[in-house]
Amino acid sequence: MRQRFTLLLALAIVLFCTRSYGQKDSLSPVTLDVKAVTLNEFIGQLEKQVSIHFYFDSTAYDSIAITMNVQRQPLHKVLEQAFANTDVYYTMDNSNHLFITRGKSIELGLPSGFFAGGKQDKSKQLQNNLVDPVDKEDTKAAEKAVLENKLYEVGDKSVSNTQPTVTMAGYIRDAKTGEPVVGASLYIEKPRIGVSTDQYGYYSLSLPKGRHILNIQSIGMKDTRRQIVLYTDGKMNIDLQGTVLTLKRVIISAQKLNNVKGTQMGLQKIDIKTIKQVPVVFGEADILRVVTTLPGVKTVGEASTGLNVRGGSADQNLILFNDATIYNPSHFFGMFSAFNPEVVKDVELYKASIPARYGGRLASVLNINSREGNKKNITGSAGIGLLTSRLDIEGPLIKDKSSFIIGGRTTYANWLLNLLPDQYKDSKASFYDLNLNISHEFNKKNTLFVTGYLSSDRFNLNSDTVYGYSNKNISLKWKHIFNNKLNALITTGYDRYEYGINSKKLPLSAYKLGFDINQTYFKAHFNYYLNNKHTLDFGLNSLYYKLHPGSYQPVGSKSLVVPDELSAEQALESALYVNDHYNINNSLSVDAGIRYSLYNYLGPQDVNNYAPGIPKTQDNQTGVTPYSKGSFIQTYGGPEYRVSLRYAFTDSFSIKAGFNTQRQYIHSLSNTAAMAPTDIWKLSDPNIKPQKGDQFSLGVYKNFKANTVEASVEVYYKNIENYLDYKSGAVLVMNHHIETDVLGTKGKAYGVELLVKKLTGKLNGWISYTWSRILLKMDDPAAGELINRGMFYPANYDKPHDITVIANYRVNHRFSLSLNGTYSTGRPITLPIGVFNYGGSLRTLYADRNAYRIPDYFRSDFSMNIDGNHKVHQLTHNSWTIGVYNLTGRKNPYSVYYVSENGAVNGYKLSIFGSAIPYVNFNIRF
Amino acid sequence: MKRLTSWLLTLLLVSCRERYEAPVQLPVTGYLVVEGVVNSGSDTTILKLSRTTKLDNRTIQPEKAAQVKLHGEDNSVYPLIEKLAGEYRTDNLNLKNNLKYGLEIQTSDGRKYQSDYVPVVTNPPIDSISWLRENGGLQLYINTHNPLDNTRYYQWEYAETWEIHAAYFSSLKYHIEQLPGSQIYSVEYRNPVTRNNDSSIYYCWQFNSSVNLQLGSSAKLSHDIINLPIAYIPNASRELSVLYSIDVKQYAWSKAGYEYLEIMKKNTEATGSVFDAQPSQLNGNIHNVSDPLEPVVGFFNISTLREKRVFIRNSDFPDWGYKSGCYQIKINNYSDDIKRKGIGLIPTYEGLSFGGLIMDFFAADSYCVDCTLSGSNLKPIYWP
Repeated sequence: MRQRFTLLLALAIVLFCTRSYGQKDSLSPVTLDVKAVTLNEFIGQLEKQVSIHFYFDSTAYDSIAITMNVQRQPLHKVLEQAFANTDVYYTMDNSNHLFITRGKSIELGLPSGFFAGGKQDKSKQLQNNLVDPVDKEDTKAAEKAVLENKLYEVGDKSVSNTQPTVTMAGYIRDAKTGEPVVGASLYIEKPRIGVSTDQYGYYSLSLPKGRHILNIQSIGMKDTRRQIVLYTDGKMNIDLQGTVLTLKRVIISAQKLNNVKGTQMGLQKIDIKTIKQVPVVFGEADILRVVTTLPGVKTVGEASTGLNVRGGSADQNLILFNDATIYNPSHFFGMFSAFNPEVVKDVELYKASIPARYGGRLASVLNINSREGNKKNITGSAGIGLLTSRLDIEGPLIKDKSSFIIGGRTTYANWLLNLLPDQYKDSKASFYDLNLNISHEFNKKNTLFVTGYLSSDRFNLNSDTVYGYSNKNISLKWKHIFNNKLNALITTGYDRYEYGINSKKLPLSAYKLGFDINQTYFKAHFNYYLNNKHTLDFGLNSLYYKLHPGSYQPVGSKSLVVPDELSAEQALESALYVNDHYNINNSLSVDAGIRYSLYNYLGPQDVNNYAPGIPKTQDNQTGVTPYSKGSFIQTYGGPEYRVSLRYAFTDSFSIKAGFNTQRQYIHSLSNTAAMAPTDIWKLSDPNIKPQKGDQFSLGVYKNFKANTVEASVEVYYKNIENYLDYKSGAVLVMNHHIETDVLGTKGKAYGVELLVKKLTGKLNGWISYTWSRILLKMDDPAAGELINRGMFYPANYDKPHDITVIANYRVNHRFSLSLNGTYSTGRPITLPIGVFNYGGSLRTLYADRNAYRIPDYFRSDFSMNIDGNHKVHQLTHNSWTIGVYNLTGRKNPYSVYYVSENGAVNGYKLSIFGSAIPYVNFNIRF
Repeated sequence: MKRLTSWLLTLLLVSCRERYEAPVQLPVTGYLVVEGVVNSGSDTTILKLSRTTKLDNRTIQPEKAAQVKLHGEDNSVYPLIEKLAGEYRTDNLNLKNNLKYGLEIQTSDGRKYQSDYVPVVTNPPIDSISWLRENGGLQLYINTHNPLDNTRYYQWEYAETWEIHAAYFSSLKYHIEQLPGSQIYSVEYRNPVTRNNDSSIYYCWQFNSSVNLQLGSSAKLSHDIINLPIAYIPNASRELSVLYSIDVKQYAWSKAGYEYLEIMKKNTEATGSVFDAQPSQLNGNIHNVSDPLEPVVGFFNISTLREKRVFIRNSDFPDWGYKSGCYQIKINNYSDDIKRKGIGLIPTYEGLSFGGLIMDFFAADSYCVDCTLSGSNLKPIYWP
């Protein structure tokens, strides 16, 4: 659009307009003696003395108080004196009309586009004098111009209020869909005060009373501003326009990026647009895969979506999907993540400064937020890929008040199994997931969110044994705003994860095995904006676990399987926390939080007792103590500290330091390299202590090129206690004395992470490099068996060097290219120390764990996004994604292993994807 | 879509698994390996002693000239004598079921190894070996039970034998006359008098024995009953083209010993897939007396030996469908034609002949006529 800068005088609504007629030459001198009168009164006095017709907007100048004592002065001198040091201007035409304006004086003479457009706004908001140019076809721009030039009054001006600052709050929403805009920044220039919206699009901002220009910016939205005048605490909701139009726009990024300004360390946030750009296997936009491209995040290999964050194991990540804990975030043997990209809004990964409101896991919090549905119209999207199809529909239930979004995915992936390594031939797999989100705004103060999530997988790996697992989650969240300073989030919900195995081939031993975790939680979180310097977060969490650690049942009448059931475990994990975000001055701010977590292992339960100081083995078991229902068997707990500090040298350069401690009361037990669907989870009990971790981190953050390029370096050192590793030959399933098969190890992890990120411009993307180690040690002789003779040994996911490059290039608005590359050191493996002959075959002997490494990993992927035309008014918008995963076809080893086959020992290298994999996806939006 | 899929299949069907030897410096090895179950009954006990070797040199060296003894709790001593290199034997042990026994080994380099003392594990007789048609082939099952429900942990080894027949009888052979600068080919009867077929190349036997650890447990069942697949005869295979036999040996194990074998099996046979457990250390019950941390492979176990042999006839499976894939061609009995068509083949029988004068004859590939190329023509003693 060509923008013509001409002036339009908006004569829209002038509420108070007193008229008198006179002639220029009849202007008589003025004598006035007024004290702190309003402009209204002042003009009134003037009109009595001169025959001038004053045009002005009486309420727009409420804040002006005029004190003047003049004797027989010309009118223009009087006006100049009155408006000195204000932004009020006056202009008089030759018909003795005098216009009082703010900010700019009026050009006399009409612009060419004067009669062309300019919708008249009939709202009771007051119209200011100048309006940006308006194209006659672009009503949106006109609307914008009107919105931006209205003067909004916040609060009640009739209430006398002596406090110098007041608080305004409200929601920032997408004007088109009514969805909240998360992370939008609102700020005024003088003095520099700003906040950003929370995940519900809510903000609260304390400002000096009076008039301000409030700037609002958000990625993907047009930057806008509002003229406000603040009297007392009040509300203001703002709708933002999306940037779907092919307007060239200037990106103002002065405050856009908070990596320098925030006190949070090790926080990575990615929105779904970025996620969708990154090429992934089979073209399934995959949240967890993209997370693994961030510094400090690793995975054991392609067949695992288990994340290893800063040396943490996969079970040390708290994966929250709208507050619901997801225990198994993967589909299809871990090849895809279980989150439908169409429903997800953004992903936040906390790997260092974990906010005090989160707890219960050592390594990280991965917070996945889903979108709210469109509040204006029913819309939807559908996608067809090589492996999955999906359909998503969203829309209002009550227009502008409540909305829903429902999304589903399913697979037809069996053909793919033929492409997998030989072991998986004749395998079958299927999965689906369903999401439902409903939000309803009862009124400005109360909003309710309902989230439902269901995912299910079934597969058999080349055998008659069928595996299945499923996540089921439902949560109810109520957001209540007490006042501008205090709001609350009350959440309650239920999470369930279950898996089952059954085998029916042999009638005598046909069985089914079941495992499930159930948790019911209640969370109350309060956010209190004390003043510009202090923001408090506090609240309490309570989580009740009920685990069925295993049930082994016969199937069919012939089966001789003895029903076996491990008794259910129950526990209560509670926490109280408070956090103060304290802006000491413009440069220095601190986040100091404490979380006190308390864990109770509850009856009924029979607890095995072992003689103290000697290894926990069945031989050393001294007895069993039965506990009755509801009894407190064991209590663990303690304070967790969450402190971070930021010192900003300039607006674009800061350093941060952090210290935090974590406790974890639920552990997954696994002796496979990948996170297997059959991994079991175990609650801490008298024999298995909670894991503890603490982390020190330090970072330097610098933005370049007008904040469009972010760079950061972070270092960390972490101690882990009581991390569970398994004993040689451990049996983890249906084990009545699991404590005899696991060992508490100590761990230490340290590393340096570098990230350079550019998220705007034609060429965008990021480069991350991590050097890190994670070493474990089991040297307690009382534990029975020493792993690697009590020396430190690398964990399975210890990959010291890791580089990822993600690059997107937007050729034009309909065509973009993406390329990514990743390199990492091969992961540790255990190689044989010798070969022997036994049972008719050569066999391998193993000793030290993880003493060797598989060859290094390198992969590059490429994809193209082709959008259909961008006309706004068409039935459907469609797009194609075409790409190649593993462009170079490199056979990256997942593992190197030796196996005895037909009497001989053969060494193999297993690659999950042994060739380049092309893919195509078709997406349609309606 | 179907075409697209098949196109993709062809494009992607690149094996993801390839042979690989880790290019790493492996440490010194040569740890003692003790294999075998001590037979508490009257049958022979064989313990095999060897040493582990490096990954890049997989020739197993037997451990010779060691002194191997069994000690009873009652101070009884039973020496085992080296008969073959590394094979230490004894007969008629007849150990007592209520006593525990230990193994003592002194190797020729002076190192002394001792096992924990273990009791004799009862081993019930094998009930039967049964079979079912599965996926076209024949799945064999081992069936065992112990009415006292106290054995629970089993290991089996099997040896298969099957009779094979050449595709064609042969009564003829080539006669080659050496002339200066050329050879003259013709056929003649193998036995000019009887003109009989040569049955020594027609009837043969092939052998195979288990190479995987065959383990089974009834620990999770209400009764000590075993019904487990043991061996599989693929559809239309030569194993059951005439007569097949399997001999199964059953050992009973202690729980600890069984778990040891399970780890060994997991470590060596079930590795490599994404969800298989990672290899772990093997800790047996035999230790170096002076260095308890020295790895020793093997688990000392005592049980009686149970054995069962069954035969399965091809005639019970009329649809077995074994095809030799052989065919004959007809060759004129003169040198040029034989040279042109018959080199490398074996003549079977005559076509047109007049009183011993062969005008033409049939011939087939050697493996279709001479079964000794793929088996042994010595009939096993247990063969009916």
